[in-house]
Parts: sequence; C-alpha cells; structure tokens
Amino acid sequence: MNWYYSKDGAQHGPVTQPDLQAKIRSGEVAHDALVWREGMTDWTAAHQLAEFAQGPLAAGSAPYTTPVSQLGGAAGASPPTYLWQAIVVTLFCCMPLGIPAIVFASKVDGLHARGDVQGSLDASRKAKMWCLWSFGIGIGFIALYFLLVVVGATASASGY
Amino acid sequence: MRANRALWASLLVLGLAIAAFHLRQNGLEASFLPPCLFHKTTGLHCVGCGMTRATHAALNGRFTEAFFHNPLGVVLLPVALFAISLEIFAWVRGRSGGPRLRMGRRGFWSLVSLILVFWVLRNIPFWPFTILAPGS
Repeated sequence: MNWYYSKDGAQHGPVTQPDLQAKIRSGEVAHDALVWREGMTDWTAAHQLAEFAQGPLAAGSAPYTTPVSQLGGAAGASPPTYLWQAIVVTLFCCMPLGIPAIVFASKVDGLHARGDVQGSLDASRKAKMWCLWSFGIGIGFIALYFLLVVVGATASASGY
Repeated sequence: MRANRALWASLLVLGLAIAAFHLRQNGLEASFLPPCLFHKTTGLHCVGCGMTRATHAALNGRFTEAFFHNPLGVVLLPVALFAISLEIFAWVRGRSGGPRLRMGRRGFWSLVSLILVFWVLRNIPFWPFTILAPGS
C-alpha cells in the first residue's frame, strides 16, 4: 500500500505504510500532515486515520504493534476483476488465452464475498496476467504479420 | 488527476481512433490485422472470428451486417469498452472507488457459459447455427 504525504506544502511519496508510520513516529512528518493513498477520496490528516493514529508520544510509551491488514473482509472494496479487458482480448486477439483470463476474472467477486481476500487478490492477479499475455502475444503477432507484409511487398516490388 | 496517466489514456484513445479510421477508410484488404491463427490452424471459428469484418461494417454504418458477422461480439464489445472506459477514467483520477460495471457471480458465470456455448454453436455446419458463423 503506497502512501503520499504533504510536507512544507509539497507532495512526497510514494512510500510504504511502515515507512510513513516511522516518519510520523520520528516526527519527520507531522502527525497532522495530510496523507493520501489510492482509494481514498481525499487527503486526510494522518492522526485522523487508524493507521497513523498513534502520535510520536504515544509510540514512545506503548509498544509498537503491527497494524492489522487494511484490506480486511468483505467490507473492503473487492479487487479489480479485469473481466471486460479479458473479453476484449478474447474477441480481438483470437486467442484461447483469453478464456482463462475470463475464468479467473469471474472468481474474483465470489471469493471476495466469501471473505477469502487473499484468494480474491490472487484470482485478480491471475486474470490480469492472462490478459497481459494474451494482449502481448496478440500485439506481437500483429507486429510480426505487419513486418512480413511490408517485407513481402518490398521484395515483390523489387522483383524478388 | 495524474498527468502521466492522463497522457497514457489519451495516447490509447488516439491510437484506437487512428486504427478505427484506417479500418473504416481502407477496408479489410488494407487491414494490417493478421488472419485468425485459430481459424487458420483448425479451420474452426473462434469466439472473436468476424470481429474485424463486423467492426469495419459497423464503422461504415452497416449495423445489421455487423451483427451477423459476430452476433455476440457486436453486443459485448460496446459494453466492454464502456466498462473499461469507466475503469480507465477512475485510474486516471487515482481513485479506485469510482462507478464500475459489475455483475454478480451469477451474471459472471452466465457470461462465461454464453461465450463458450457461442464458440461451440457457431461451428456447427448447418442451419440455423450457420447464422452465428461469420459471413463471407
């Protein structure tokens, strides 16, 4: 999870969550500095967020605890399914590779609804991977074909 | 709003527009798209077969002809492009919670089965299934 933060009126980041927590604990970043990560609607003061609630003083007195995963449960947003991308690559690249992409895409929401966040993320990643492979091979094939057509045209034009 | 993401999205739209214009003006003979490998090797029609012809027909306003080149693709493609535009828009704005086209688990599985059934049916070599196969 990448965070962005504001300091002296400028935007910094991305940094990981533990890094930003360390910066806030050490006082390098003010604990009321505005922070933002993807998925948040707006910049928010760090101390208003659960992740950064403990200020520099509190951190000194209480032992540091690893924050619980914020992805948590069915309440969080489900990861991207890539279903539509999978359909487009299947339609245009003429590749059976699009089918596994669609199958993985269709698993994402179901797994998420059952609370299997990891499985859902996994399916999302696999759907993305198959989409990219299918897309890459399709584009590569088109480029190769294009090259052959151009070379073929040049060769026949010069009499070979 | 992220400037570099907006740039990528604009380049993508521009590329698509150029490709669409080229296909519309020059037709299939000048098309740089290779023939379908699946069709070449097996002689069967794949799910996407006929989509180049259908897109060409649709870009020239011949929607009925487009529909019969690939009935499923012609319906699904605009929906998919719309859904992807929504996602790209959210991506450019750096927000994941934007409006999205989502279908329930049932919808998903119906769609997957529909695609597979369509794939099989359009390869049955007699009427009425031949309607589903791309025209010449």
